[in-house]
Amino acid sequence: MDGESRAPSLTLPRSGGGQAGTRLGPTMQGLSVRSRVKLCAFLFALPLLAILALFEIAPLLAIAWNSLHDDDGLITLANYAEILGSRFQRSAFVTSVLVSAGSAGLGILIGLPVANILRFMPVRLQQTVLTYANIGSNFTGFPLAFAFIIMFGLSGSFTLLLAKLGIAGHLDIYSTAGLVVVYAYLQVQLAILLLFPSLGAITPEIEEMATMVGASRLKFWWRIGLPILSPSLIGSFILLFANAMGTYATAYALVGGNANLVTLRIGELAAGDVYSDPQLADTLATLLILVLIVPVIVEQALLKRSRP
Amino acid sequence: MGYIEIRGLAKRYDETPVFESIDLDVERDEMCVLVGPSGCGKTTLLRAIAGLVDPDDGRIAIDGRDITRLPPKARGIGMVMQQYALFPNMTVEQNLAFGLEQQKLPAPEIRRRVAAMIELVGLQARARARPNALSGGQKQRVALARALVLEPKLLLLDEPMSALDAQIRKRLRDELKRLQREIGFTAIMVTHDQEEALVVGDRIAVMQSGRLSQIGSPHNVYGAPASQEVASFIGDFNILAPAAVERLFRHRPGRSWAIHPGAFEIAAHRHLNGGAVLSSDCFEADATVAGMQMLGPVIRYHLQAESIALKMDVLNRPSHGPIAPGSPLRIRLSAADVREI
Amino acid sequence: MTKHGKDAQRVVVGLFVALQVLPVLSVALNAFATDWAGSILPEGLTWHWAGQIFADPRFTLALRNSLVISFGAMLVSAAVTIPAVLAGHCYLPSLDRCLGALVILPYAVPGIALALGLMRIYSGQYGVQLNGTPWVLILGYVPLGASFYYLPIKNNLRAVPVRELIEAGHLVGAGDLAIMRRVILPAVIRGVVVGLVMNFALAISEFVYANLLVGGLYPTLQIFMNVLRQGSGRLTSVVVTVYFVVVWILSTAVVAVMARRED
Repeated sequence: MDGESRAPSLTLPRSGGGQAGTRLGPTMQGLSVRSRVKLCAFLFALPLLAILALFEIAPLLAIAWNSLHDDDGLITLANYAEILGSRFQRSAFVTSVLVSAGSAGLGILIGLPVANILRFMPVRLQQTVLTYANIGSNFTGFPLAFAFIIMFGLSGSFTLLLAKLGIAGHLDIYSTAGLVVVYAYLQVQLAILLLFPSLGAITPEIEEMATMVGASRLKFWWRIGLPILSPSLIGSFILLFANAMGTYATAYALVGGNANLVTLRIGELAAGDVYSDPQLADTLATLLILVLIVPVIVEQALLKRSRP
Repeated sequence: MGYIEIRGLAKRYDETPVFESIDLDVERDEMCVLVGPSGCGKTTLLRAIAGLVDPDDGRIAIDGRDITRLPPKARGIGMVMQQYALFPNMTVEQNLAFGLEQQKLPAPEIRRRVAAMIELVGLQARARARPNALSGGQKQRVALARALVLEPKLLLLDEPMSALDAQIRKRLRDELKRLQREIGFTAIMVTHDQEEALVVGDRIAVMQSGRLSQIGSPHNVYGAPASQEVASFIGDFNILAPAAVERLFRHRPGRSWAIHPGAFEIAAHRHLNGGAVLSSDCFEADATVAGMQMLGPVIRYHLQAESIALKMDVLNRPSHGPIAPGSPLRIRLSAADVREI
Repeated sequence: MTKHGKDAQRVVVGLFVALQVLPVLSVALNAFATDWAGSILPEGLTWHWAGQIFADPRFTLALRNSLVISFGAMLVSAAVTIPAVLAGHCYLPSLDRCLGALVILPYAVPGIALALGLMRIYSGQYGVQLNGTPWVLILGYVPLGASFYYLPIKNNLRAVPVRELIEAGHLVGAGDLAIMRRVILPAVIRGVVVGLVMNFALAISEFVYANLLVGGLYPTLQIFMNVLRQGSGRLTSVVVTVYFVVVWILSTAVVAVMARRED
């Protein structure tokens, strides 16, 4: 506080004065003022840093630490060996990856054209759509699962509607494919939010120029549009993938413990009455984080290499 | 019959005309400059010629072939946009080659034409660079080369220099003229800068609120403006209403006078009081210097005469000092330099 | 081209509205339907289920708890995040980079992993017993919500010549705090409004933390839905509808505020 209020009064003589001989003085004073302002700024940031340390970093360290210890507090890799050796746990990872990659792909496939059309709308309409997409991406867990059960469940109205229309093969939302569809509901909205800003790089002028030199729309997107977008497409896919891999509430509400997903296994091991095993839960969670961090690191490395 | 022939072209947005009754002819290998204040509709007109905007009325023909309803790529028109719009994911070479590839030309032919064009605009050293590694002037040259490599029947330039600083602008202006001499192309360029228009254009079309108010050679448009608007936009003329002329020179004309700032002379002596018609072809008036601006080759004096503000340009000779503000002087005007409009 | 574009726009907006409205509508219908089994549309409407829920003290408690936690998390997050983002952007570039990474981290790290960690730390083994109290949620949601302030505020700040504004402020004799409050903060107010609502929506929608860390000790709406799941679908529908209505009212308010600010 003190540094804040005194800053201007100390800098004032520097701009007004300018006598020879005191050249060193004001500079030194200026420096100390600047560092006091910086210290003050740091104090303002401190509460957030403290909370991030205690509620974001510390928990991660805690589970990593826990995963490396056995019940007696001795360092061990046995937890990892147990999980990697278990066919059941390995298949949980496979299912999670399939559901996540599938829903992320669907999200981008649908979200990209929508975001592209959004570009040509009036700004206010864009804002509205984006705000609702933002809010809509929070419709997770019970509300979402429940809505889907009512619409597409065994006696859901859409299931009946589709049956009446004679469209065969109803969507089984309790299956893995069903999970992909329910996840995709969220992924599309997230994809719109993530891709819309990067579409700004494709200006109408670039599209017009491509038309002028004779490229078809398809040619334009294949040779120019998608290459321009490719970094953000990859980045968005990774983020959507991570989002789906970490989804717990929606899957829990929809299929309970029935689907073999990593997050459901973690929840079971953490709080289940029968299978509770904190160390294993932490190990599984640590492995899940590793699976998610690796693509991010690879992507960052690729980005760095592509712009030397 | 011009090589490029535009007749009665019009475009409206929600009943408000952007431009209307546009008639314009451009000869082969001629550079026509469309000049006008911002918002006069010149960019939309250019985009209509390119096929990026559908005109509501009128027709456009190139070399006798009606192209009004053709899609942009079938018109044989090249374009350089204000912001260049280079393809950011492609190198300079690839930017040039892209259009040729769409024409399904054989690869060796494409390579040859791209290399020749890159040499012509002097970008050999940057051939494999991507647009974001180029300077503004280089981007501009790539945009120009990308349009020219397709050998268009007509080249459209939409304010191609407006994003550049003054120095590079002048150099590229000369370069554009050099290229036109060397390979010969027909072009329509849009600008809001009247000086640029006069330097670059073989033919100038002045556009004001959606209409072409005068078309002619630079000399003709600058020296003989057809309307008060053209006079004040292109030549920065003094426009005097008949009543003002009478106050100044004791002579009442039927119409307003347009007087170029360079047309005034400073009379040697103050031998008469008030304005006068010396003879039928020469006028004089007393004035006071209110201020001056150093424009470089000329000095612009802002004069007050009978409480009328006048602009006067005097050749800036190093041996002559500037006239101090407040000084009285007598100005003389030859009737031949007066344009009644 | 333009006509074709307009049609495409209508289709997209229509689809988007359907995507957003259909689930809500289905749940709401289910909440007020008399009988809805084996038919596409319900046969009649009734207040029966809604009345039953609103008379249930567990529901009022859950609603109250959810509002306390959502507003609490929103206020605490805003109070600690906004000064930190401004301080980082305006004075401490290295801190800013660090914050950028820290607020993005929860996107890559699953909530359940963080929840496990919090479970290990704040269950009293280390002398701090936060689990089972609303505080673990209010504070725990701060890292999850920080990006909602960080990203839009940074976006707004990029358009503002911060250094020049601070220097200009000094020249007219204003202190740094005054410059922040009077000049920089107004420039980012839109980002702040968006962040507040997103933060609220996150906190009222969150289930993993609430379930694992607090559960029945301080039941929220989401926990209550989980409890009801075992019983009647109709009652759950009413609760979900209430949740939808709360979130939608808020987001519509934001859209309105944003639209007004543009004029």
